[in-house]
Amino acid sequence: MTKKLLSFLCIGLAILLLDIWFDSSNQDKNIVLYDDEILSLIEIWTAQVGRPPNEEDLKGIINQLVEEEILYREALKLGLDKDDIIIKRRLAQKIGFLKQEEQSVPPTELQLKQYFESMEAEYFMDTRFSFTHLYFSKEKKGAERALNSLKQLRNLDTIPDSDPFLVGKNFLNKTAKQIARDFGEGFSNNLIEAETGRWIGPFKSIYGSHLVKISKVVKARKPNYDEVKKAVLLDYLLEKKQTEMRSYIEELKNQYDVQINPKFNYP
Amino acid sequence: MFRVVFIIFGLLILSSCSNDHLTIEDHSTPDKDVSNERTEDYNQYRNVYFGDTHIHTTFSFDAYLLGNMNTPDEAYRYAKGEGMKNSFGIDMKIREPLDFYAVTDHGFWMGVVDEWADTTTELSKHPLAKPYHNINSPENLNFDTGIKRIALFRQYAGQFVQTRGGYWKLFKAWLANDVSIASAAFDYDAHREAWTEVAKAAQKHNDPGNFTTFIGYEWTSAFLQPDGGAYHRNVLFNSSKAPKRPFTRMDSQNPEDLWTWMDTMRDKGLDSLAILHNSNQSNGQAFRLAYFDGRPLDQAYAEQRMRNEPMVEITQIKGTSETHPRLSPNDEWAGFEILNTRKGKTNFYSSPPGSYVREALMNGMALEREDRGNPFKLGFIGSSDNHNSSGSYEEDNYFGTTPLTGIPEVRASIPLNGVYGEMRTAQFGASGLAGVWAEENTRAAIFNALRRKETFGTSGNRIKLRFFGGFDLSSIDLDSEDLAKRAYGKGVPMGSDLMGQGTKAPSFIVWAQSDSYGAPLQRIQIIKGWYDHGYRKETREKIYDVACSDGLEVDPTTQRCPDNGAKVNLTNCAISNDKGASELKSVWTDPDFESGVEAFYYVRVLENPTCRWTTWDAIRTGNKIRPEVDITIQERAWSSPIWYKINQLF
Repeated sequence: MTKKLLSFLCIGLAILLLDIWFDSSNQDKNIVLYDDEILSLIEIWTAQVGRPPNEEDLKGIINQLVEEEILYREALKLGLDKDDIIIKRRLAQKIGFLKQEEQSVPPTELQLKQYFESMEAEYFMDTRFSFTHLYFSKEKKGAERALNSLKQLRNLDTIPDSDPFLVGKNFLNKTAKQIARDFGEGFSNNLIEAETGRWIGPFKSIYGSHLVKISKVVKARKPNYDEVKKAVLLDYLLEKKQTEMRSYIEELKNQYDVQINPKFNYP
Repeated sequence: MFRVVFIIFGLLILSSCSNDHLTIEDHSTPDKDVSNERTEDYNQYRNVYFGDTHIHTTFSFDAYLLGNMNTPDEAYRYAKGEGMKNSFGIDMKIREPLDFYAVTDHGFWMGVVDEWADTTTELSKHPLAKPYHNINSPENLNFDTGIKRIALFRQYAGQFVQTRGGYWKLFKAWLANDVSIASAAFDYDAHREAWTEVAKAAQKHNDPGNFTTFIGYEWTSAFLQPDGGAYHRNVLFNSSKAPKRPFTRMDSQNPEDLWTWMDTMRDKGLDSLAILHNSNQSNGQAFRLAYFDGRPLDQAYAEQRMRNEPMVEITQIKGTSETHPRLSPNDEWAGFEILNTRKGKTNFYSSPPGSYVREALMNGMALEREDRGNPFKLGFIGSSDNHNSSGSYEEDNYFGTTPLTGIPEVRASIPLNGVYGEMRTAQFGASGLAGVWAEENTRAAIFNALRRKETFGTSGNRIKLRFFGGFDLSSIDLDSEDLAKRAYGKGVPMGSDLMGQGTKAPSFIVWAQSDSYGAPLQRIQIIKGWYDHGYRKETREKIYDVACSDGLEVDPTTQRCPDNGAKVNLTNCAISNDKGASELKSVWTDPDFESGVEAFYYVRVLENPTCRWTTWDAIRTGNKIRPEVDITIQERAWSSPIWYKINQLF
């Protein structure tokens, strides 16, 4: 008899405890979906699929949101977020992103200029040539034809017949290295001290002879700040963000007491 | 009971990573990537750009095991001309910078092997991970570890990969719809991290107007069964966006599933294309005339394959896939850089039928004639497939395919203790560049050029090649200064269909310039292939020389240029400097045109002979030249074909 009574009481107690437990957990069982949240999901969905969702899709989107929220809350209740390396990493990553996105104070012109000066080598510009050329194939007496053509150009100012050049006639802002790819090593040496705006040559390439008219030579130089302002700003911000993140972590480290087993021995 | 239910719920939350291969992530940096303006070099008659779309870095499981510690970022810096050392200390520097480049690490196991080697990780604690511990620590980065590395790569890795993880991992894998997670050897976070780094490096180095990159990876599927073949292709995305993880062989071993996935992603707004490679090592699988499950090919197959995979690497380090002497007995140049073993099972012979491009092009025409569509209408590029993070394209500057093959003894060009290394290693070639005709050097322009197949492949040199087809091209003066403009006006460029009535023979303009650092050109050839649908019902091919150097003329009966007499000095590799041409061009009309027969035509340009890298190695080290491989080779370029098609077939 007492046995039965005891088990009866135990069952009763269990039901009571469960009831209390359910009751208490009922308090956070309201899920409110805000319009914003749904709208932003619709936007993402549209971007991914390429069309706005229809009624059916929408139901799916909302249902998924609700189910995810429920499972998320239940998981929190069970403490599944504790000691989970994936969640830890994700949160650490998130704070990193947050710091990255923090708008730091925009740099002053002076700061940028100083940065630019300190990184001078990074922004150095090679000599660049813009020119057009006439090509005379060496397979067809190129050297001779080039000379005659130069005379014609100088005396009559008419453009003589020349051969087609496979990669074209006009070259814009090319470095010596780029020119070497199409004309052979050293071809650009002809152009360094040369006169602009006038037909000059003939110059030999591995393919034949060329008459060249240079339109512009931009000498190798340190650019002035205004030309590379945009790149400087990008580089500056990138570097600043990295140092800020670093110092943020260092600052936090000071607030923590880190203990490592002093007897730890790496095999 | 409650506990069980909640644990399942918890796991479902973990499964939020499910289907990551269908989720798109954007890696763009807003300040940098948005611009629709034309760049300075925009040219409607198109510029030529050279690049490599097949590079493996430290994130590829095999590259890592063979010693590669160079990152994608370093790979891109190499392509832009910076010299670097590989992790065994071998210097690597390219002769001239490239215009475009794509890091394409193996999708499966990307970035994971490092976790086996790093003794602080969870994966490294698995007993099977033990042999991998610290394999790439500084004290192990040397040639003495070679045998161990090869063993780890060939034997143990497979065993570890196939070891099942615990039930927890199995369940996660099931939830995430990703089989790899089920393996004891896999770590999803490391995998994702590596893939993100690949994408970030591509974005960082993409520089419209100067240098183009693609986010991409290699989808690698090979079968180890006795008759197994290989199905390897690279996937390139035309975007700063990429899937959260690559679709790999763990998702499916079947290339048709890869194409279906690419179709799905395209519907979601992410365009991509696949480039097949090493058909030569596929043991007949690359161009098999059947679906993966053995059903006969049909129109639907052809359409899906061509929509997703219009390109093939006709040459690369692991051999050239144009054709094989057994398939093309009347082609004297067919035996170029042949590598006759299989992928994945490298001691086995790879059977030529179904493995070479020219045969596939012909079979495609036959299939189309039977109304089954043409699944092999392929454009050509070359690329390297180098596993050093750096392409090695020059015979006299060859530094191997991995850090391990950084010295001649190991790459089998000279003997080690009196014995030569594996023949296969000596068969590797300093090969593979992609030439592309595009309006400008931007990702969109180069991607579109690949799509329309206005491309050519070279065996490593920068031979520049134009090719046009039409019906009225012989009226164009080849010496007219605006030749390219006229040719575009009256014809179609390489990679196109040339539509005709079936009555007039097509004509072609070919135009090539030698590499300013390479040997002079010897000849230009046109290769014609067709399907004889008369009573013979067979595929046919014919090779025509169409331009000869040194003022020589094509013999009309043999269709060959006479020998131009160019020689190589085998004591120092010097070449005759008075033979060959810096430029060749010609207009050619098909002399054997048959009315009513469709055909394809592609160009092959040959340089004068030069020393192969194995010969350079031997001469430089004072050794005998290895005789089983070619002593000299003729570097070459292949254009994408032009398909002559008849509007109305009767």
